[in-house]
Amino acid sequence: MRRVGGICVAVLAAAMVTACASDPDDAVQLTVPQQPAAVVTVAQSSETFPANGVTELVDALDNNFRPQVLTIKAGTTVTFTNVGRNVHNVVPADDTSATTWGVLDADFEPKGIYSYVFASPGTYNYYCTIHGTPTAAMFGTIVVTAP
Amino acid sequence: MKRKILAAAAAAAMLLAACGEERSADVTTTSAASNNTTGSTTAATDTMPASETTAGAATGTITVPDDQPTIQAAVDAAKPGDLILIKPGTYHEAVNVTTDQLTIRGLDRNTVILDGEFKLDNGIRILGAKGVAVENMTATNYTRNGFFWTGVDGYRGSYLTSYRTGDYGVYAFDSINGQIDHIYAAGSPDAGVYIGECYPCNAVLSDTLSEHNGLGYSGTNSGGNLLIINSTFRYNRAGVVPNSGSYELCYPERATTIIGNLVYSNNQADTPSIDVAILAMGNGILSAGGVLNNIERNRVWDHEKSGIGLVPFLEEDPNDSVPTPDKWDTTCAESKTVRPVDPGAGILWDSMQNRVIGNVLEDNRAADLLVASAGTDVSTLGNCFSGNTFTTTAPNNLETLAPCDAVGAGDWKDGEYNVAAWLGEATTRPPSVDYKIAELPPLEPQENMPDAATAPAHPATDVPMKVDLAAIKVPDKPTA
Repeated sequence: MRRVGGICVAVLAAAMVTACASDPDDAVQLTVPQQPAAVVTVAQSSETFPANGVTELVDALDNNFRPQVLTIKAGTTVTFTNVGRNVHNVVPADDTSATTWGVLDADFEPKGIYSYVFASPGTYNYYCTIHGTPTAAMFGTIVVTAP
Repeated sequence: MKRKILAAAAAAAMLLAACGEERSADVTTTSAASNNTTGSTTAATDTMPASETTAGAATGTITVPDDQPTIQAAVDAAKPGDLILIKPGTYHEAVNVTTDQLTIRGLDRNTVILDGEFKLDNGIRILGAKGVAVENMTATNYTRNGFFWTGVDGYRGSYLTSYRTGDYGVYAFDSINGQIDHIYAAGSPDAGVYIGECYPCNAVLSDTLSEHNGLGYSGTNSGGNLLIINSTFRYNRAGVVPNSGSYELCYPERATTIIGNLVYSNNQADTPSIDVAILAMGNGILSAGGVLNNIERNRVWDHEKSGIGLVPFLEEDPNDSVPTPDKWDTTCAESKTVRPVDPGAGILWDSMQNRVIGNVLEDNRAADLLVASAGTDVSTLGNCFSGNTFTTTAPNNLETLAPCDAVGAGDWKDGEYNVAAWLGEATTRPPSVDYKIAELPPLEPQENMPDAATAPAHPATDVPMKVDLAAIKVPDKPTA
């Protein structure tokens, strides 16, 4: 349990008498289907494509990336947001210093945002070095296909 | 519905200001080269003859530092099923484990010491490796956790001591089929022991002493055959705190069984502490938005607030909405396949459908038994209370209002509890103390596992242990 403000809730007792969706009859299921976890590998290409104006989102929760697998067209921007309460990082599986792309701990504390344009087709495996490995726990894959 | 969400958003904004919550991480930042495995070792190689260390496990045994100079080197050289025996000494390592079914064992719990020197992050971190057991050693002075399993199927931590760590003591995350037993955990700002993001967890925590932490036990979004039993939680800011939140997957926290524990004097003001532990301070067993928990036959005393409290939890900046009860059975695996729509406003996790039975409570100054909400009619939450020994409840006459397996009657407004008061009080409470310097009880020798030198490898392939819950009685008060 990290820096949760739950018990603060009480101060709002009066204001929230009818405000919150904790009543089962009131609650709304706000989930939408996500891509399947299966990864289709795309060969790395040196061909680059310009930014296409499309942005896809990846959440870094405590301690998972969601969606774990994201398939996009080359030129798409992927925005990673730390929506957890722990510090995380996003580093390529073969580049733990994040010199090619990615974001390290200092710049990815809670509410931290990092965006990157995936210009070339390929399969980009990444992970959080604090909470995972390239293949276990907090890890993910961006599959980039040719437009 | 939209109007309500807007109202909640406004309320959440007020709350953020009111709470003054520090959202930036308070953990020490580490580089991408997390769990630096380089380190020095000071091993008392002459304290345990090699012939003794390998008795009963002649093959598949790697002794540190005889066969490999460091624990990490031994782990890297090991194959599934191997036993790694660690001789007494001080090991300045942060060990990563990615090989299945290892048994990593210290020959003496009190003299096999992993010391992070406030530089290294985790004593032993198991990443996705199935069935790894860690036994009989001490981890201290780590910037994050003493012992950490994540993303595993099968884990066991036995006869472990975690002392003075920057996050958790013993930490099992997104892991199922596990057992944590015979633990001593002290000096962590979050929880001494944490089991979170698992459903069904199929795990047992037993025979543990957790003290002088922010929280004695915390479990976010965990449950499902998860047993917290036969343990002692004392001198923490708050004792046992199952809780829900959408900042981790697999919500809500549900179906945790908490039986046969001693929970007392969790009012400790001089511990390291995350902010919620300061808010929760003075409570023994506190469900913060948990559902379907069974809290039975515990002995709970000496708390400034509640002995057993069922309270709401507001998540100010959630990633999802509160799931309806028909979604409570969603497995963690399923939860990873969906990406929710941001609800755009704070959400309220009420504690619902918990059963509080047969506990013995005394001297809990707000109330021995307490249930509260912040806007929801608590009479509709489905919590029940029966067969407890107590003096006070809030609202009054809880066992008459909400008996288990019977129809209740009475006035829920009579003696209803204003949880809001906790917030104001929390602002005046002593702040967190840096875990590096917090005053802790001296580290006394802890019970060793039997036959550490001769017992064969025992990977975590047979966990959790079987528990006869019906046989567990309310524990007696300690005599000393």
